Amino acid sequence: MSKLYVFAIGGTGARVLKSLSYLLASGVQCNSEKIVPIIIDPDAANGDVSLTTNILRSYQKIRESLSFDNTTENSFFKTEIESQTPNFRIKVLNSERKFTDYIDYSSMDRRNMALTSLLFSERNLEATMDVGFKGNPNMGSVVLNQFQESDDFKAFASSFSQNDRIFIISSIFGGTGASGFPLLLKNLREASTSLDNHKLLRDSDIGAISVLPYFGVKKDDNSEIEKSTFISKTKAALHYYEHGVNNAVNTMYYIGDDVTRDYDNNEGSTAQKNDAHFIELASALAIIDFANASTSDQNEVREFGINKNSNNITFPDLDESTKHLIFEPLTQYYLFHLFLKNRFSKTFNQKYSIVLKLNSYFLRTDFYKELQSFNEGYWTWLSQMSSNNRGFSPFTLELSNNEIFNAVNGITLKRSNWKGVKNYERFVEYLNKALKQDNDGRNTENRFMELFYNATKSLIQEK
Amino acid sequence: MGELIKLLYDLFKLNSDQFYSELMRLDFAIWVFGLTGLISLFLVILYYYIIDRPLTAKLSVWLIFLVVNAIILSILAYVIAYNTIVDDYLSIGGEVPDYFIDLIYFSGMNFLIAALFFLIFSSMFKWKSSNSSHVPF
Repeated sequence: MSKLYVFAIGGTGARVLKSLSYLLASGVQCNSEKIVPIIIDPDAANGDVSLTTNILRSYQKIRESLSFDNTTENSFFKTEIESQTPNFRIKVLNSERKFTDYIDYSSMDRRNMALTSLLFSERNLEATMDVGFKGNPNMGSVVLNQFQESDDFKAFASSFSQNDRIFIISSIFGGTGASGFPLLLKNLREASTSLDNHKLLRDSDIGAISVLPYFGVKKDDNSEIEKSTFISKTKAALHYYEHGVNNAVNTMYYIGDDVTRDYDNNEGSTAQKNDAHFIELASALAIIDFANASTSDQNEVREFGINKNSNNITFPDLDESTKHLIFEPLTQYYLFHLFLKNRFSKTFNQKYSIVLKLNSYFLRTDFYKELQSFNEGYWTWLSQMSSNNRGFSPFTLELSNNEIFNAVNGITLKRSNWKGVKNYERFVEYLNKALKQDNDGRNTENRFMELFYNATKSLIQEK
Repeated sequence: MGELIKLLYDLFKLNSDQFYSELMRLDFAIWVFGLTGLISLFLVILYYYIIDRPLTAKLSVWLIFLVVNAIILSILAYVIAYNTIVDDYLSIGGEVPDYFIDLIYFSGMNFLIAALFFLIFSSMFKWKSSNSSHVPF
């Protein structure tokens, strides 16, 4: 069983993981049997990190009720997400201390103090790091250089086995991601002999994505984060990556956008909760691309592109391979959510509900409640991507519109048959048809998911 | 078999003696019974395999089909029985007796037979229906 360890560094890393969770929930094909997310962020209260952690936990709870074998047709929640560490995080030691205390500035001799003052500003030295490095990779590169001593990292090394792979997500224009990525890479490629499986780690197949600027922040004199530094920091880091990073990873992905929206300027903590963005979805697709590619000894650098430079991307604007990968799963899950939200409880007298014993009791099960909450998150994720800049609007996102087969922007789904069966009635008809593939030897949750998966697949494929 | 069918229409012993003798003498009951079976079968097929859609896969819609089937066939029963008796009397030049109440009983009995046919055929043919196999039970 091959695992893909996904290190998500900083807020961007967490948001990409969020997109990955929704892609996997919708059944996007991923050849790794297990994904093991590991979040690295000293900002324990970071809004994006907490949200992602909750989504990952919710995914796991839903998947616990499901089983997959060779006969399973359902791909919703197919890929297992495993937690290696509590809350999917590697604890960054002593991040709550002031930076001067962390580097023991007061006990330095004069020459070292002078050198330190050259490398770090007064604000850097006085800063605490409990909300991250506030866009200062020079601080991050010192504090995060402690992976090897962390118990969580040791546990990761112990669990790593032959054929497992590693993927690292980071942004290049902030603090935590920009500093954490090269350090993590160094600690993997030069894994200490004191670590279990250090040889496997050194030779492991590593992919990484570095996210270039894709959003800005509003001007705030009280914040250390400045949009104007993003490009210069990116250029400096890219120059470093060209010689110190690109050759150390098997596949390096770069992504960015020149169309940006300015978010509220929050240095970190609970307030840092950015809206979902298409770039994060595309970054999550880099993970899928890496997981689905065969192992290669050659170093490759890849970029992501779309066919049409649209400010509001729809499926037809995507490259054919991207569209092929995500159109069906995202649309299936979208229809699944719409049906559960608008119609499911009104169809308990229909054949599929009676055969599967779906009734008001099923609505009160922990499984269904968890699924409902997860699906609300899916809807929010789509809504935020749609309203962001650049936007991604594959669906109309009209909750109360009965014309559900008109819901995919730019793509026409078959809407009715010769009998005039359309909208939600058509959906029910396909649920009833999907009963032919139902295996009544399994639990209700499995049968429920498989039925909806098969029905939505047929609805989309019907010409 | 024909005798049994004719006796079925006198199950509740509501017919007058004169109408009873017409019932046993003429074959209209057999024709009505046969047509009731055929039309009920057609409506069952129509409900379960031609119309068959989620919107109609409800007990209420099935009951409407059952009642409509029974009404159509009770009217048909009245018309066939009446015409057969009238033709028979006209062929011998006799005066047609007034069987109105008996014909109402006869068509009422066929109403029940048609409903029974619909129920039996539904139970037999519903299983392969895509959307309605759970109706009426």
